[in-house]
Amino acid sequence: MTHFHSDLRARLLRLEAAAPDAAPAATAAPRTHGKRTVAAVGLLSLAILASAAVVGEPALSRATYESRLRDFGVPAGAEVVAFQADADGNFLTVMYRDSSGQVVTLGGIERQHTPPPTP
Amino acid sequence: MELAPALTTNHDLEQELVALYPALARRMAMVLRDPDIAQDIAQSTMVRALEHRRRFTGGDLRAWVYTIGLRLAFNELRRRRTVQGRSSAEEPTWAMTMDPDLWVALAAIEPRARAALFLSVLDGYTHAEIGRILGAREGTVSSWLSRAKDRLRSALEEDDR
Repeated sequence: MTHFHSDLRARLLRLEAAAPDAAPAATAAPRTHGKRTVAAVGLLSLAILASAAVVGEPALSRATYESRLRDFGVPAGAEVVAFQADADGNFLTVMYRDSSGQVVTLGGIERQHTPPPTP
Repeated sequence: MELAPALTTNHDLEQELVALYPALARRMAMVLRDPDIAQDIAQSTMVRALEHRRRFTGGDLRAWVYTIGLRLAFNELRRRRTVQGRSSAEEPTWAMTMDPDLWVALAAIEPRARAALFLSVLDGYTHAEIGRILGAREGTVSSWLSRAKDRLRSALEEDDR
């Protein structure tokens, strides 16, 4: 390995290590970019939820989040694996683990369409 | 409310996918150079990976996830066409604090070549493996990497003078 290559690798490693890697904004309201709604997605072991740091985003309170989960049909205490929500914070899809350990999907996966480039 | 059929899944696979999120988010930030877009793509990647987890037949889970993520990323870049022309004032603080010369030098490299560079230098994938991840020929990957390293060498050595 050349000196340049090893030096480049070390610098890239340091740079990438500094990049943001926050857990998905589990309690954040989804953001919108133009006409496209960006779904907030949670990878929510509850531990991640508890520790998720949400910076610069309006956030649902834990109680509101739990309430919306119940309203959506997720049993109390179930481990949420992932979710999508619309721009108003309403759940579109929730994947949770039931008492037998199986993952159940409520709702349907909302596709994010990539429109053709505008001329 | 529609109750979708229950999905049987491999608990370990889900755990591994979740564990990959931070690395995926960082990689997307390096490739896309915009933290908001990077987070959106990383999240979309996780949804896609979880949705299609049954298609993963074993092997290198990170490469599988990166394949999904990088293809979503390039689609998004094509859609936005906003990669070029950012002023230094718009560059992310974390990058400009850590290694501004390298960050600026990386901006001059085309996004696919940049992704190939990271997959090679940081992850140690072969040119053939990178080709499969990025959907490019091995020879194309070799060309990307050669040009990217030449460009970085030139830019970074110039900065050192």
